[in-house]
Amino acid sequence: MHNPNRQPIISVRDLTAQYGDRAVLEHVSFEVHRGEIFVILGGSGCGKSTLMKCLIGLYQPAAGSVFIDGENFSAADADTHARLLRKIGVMYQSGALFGSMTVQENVRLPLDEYTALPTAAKRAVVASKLALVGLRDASFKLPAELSGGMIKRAAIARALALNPAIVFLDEPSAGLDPVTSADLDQTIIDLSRDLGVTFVIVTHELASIYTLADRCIMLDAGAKGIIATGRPAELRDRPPNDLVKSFFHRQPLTTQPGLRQPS
Amino acid sequence: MPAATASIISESRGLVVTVTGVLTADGVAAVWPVLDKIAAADGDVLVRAGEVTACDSTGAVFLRELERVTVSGGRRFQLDGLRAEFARTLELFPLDAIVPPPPTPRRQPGLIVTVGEKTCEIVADLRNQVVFLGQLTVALWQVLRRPRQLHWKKILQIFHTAAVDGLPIVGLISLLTGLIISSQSVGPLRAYGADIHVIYLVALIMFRELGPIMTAILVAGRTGSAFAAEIGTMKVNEELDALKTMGLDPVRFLVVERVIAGCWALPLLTVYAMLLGVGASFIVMLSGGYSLPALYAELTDYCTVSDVVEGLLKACFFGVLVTGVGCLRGIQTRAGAAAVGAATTRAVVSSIVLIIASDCVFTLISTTLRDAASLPF
Repeated sequence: MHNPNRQPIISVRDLTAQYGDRAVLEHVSFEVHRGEIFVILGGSGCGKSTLMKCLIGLYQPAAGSVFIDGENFSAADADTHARLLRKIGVMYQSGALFGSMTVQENVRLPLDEYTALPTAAKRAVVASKLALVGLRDASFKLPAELSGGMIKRAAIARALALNPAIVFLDEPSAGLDPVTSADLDQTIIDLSRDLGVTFVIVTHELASIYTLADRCIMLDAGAKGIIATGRPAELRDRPPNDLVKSFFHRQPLTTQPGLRQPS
Repeated sequence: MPAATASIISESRGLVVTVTGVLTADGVAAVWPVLDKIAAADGDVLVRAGEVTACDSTGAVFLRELERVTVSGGRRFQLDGLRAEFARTLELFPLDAIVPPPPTPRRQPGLIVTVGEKTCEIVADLRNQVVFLGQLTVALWQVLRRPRQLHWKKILQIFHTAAVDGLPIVGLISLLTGLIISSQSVGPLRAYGADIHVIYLVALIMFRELGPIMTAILVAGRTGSAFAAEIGTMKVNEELDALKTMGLDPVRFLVVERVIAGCWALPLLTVYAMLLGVGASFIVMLSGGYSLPALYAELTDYCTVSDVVEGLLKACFFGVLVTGVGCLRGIQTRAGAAAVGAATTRAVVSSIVLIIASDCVFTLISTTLRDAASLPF
């Protein structure tokens, strides 16, 4: 399923992020390889969202650098910054679709702004992106008329509009039922395999982590940084510390001793 | 030089299209016009793509569109020489995936239906306003019976935002209005030897009409719209639903405190506006050579306490009106960010219309009462 190339497409070096005087992340370094599905996990308040904001250029780190495809994103001039932004697509936790636009208008917006494609070409590209995520029949619906899973799919289609090399997904499973969540995970795997897109995913859904992740890092609020790196199975079988162990060894309620089993 | 090129050669067996270069968004934009030529020509199409050096999903869509245009005319299509990695990308987009679905037909209602729907909307809105007025009255009655239920700290905060923070803009507008009316009216009245009455004129206007109306319109723009946006955002975030499921009445919890604060804020701002408007008139007249005792005597001889009381009663009513309408429009917000903007606009427009309409009623009543009491003016 996964065949990650070892060449890094994202390189984070000695990154420190802080709000005022309060440091959230200190001296964080890691690399994401081209084509892999990379998961950032950790408890609430550990800095996952701050790290993602640094990676997508929404937040300027206090120290350290973020390299995208070999170029320093965190110290880029305006032109370089704009060029690097075209290499990334982002799906926000809520989808962040524009409520006054239909699904196809949402997906078409980046094409209108950044390409010189003729109208017919844009229509065909939008149709192809929506077909990729299984939303062809919802093209003319407004976001308010979509289910939670459909909103996430539409947001992924919009993130893919300009064929980015990297797609960031913030909590893709949040608010979805297990079946819809599993469907979405499969879509992400298909897109990664078929399009060669690198996915960076912020999540703490164990099922999704096992299904999706080639590699993952775990952040901790106390350590203000990474406390574990590796494949999910490795971290589960050989946890480097108690925090990782407690995260990966949470048991489903029905298997805990003392709980009544269904007859 | 374009990132990609496409050339057409007509041969006996059909068209040979040679595509070269980088088939990404920029390249596809350059070669897309070739589709029209192929659609207009006859014969089978052979696409040579051996010199395509890059092809992302936009390039794949272009190649599929080439195929679609060809086969839709009953002709044969052949793609030759495309690299294996690009062929895999092409496989992701079957022919039917690039065809946009037909747009959902939108019902275009006729004139009669539109007028009918608008009328129903207006009637429903009036009904909602009456229902809201009833709910507000009940909620106010309940808190008057049990004042301890009120969050006085919150009321003070709202009062501060509505009244204290509004002092600069209300003061500026009132001062300028007093200056302008005085400057403009002193000339015409001088022609009749009545220029000393400018003070009376400005005082009457500021006490009875402009003071309360101008302040109410400013408060509608500053505070009423803010209430609509705040409560509207709460509605979008399902906070109003949360209140209801906790057994709390949104009108009692969100509206009553704002209305009580507005009911106090507007009369006090109006007094401030009256003072500055008349003060401005004094400045104009003093600079014209009139003495302060003469101007003061003019004011006290003609203006009565009833003029100020009339203005304050109006201001009190407008305070309830502006804050109530702002809250109502917030509660009526539908889903989405645009709905919050629409609620804000409706709050301001409705407030201004109701202020002017109710002022007409007030003026009618006060004129009738003055006539009945045989009072001057």
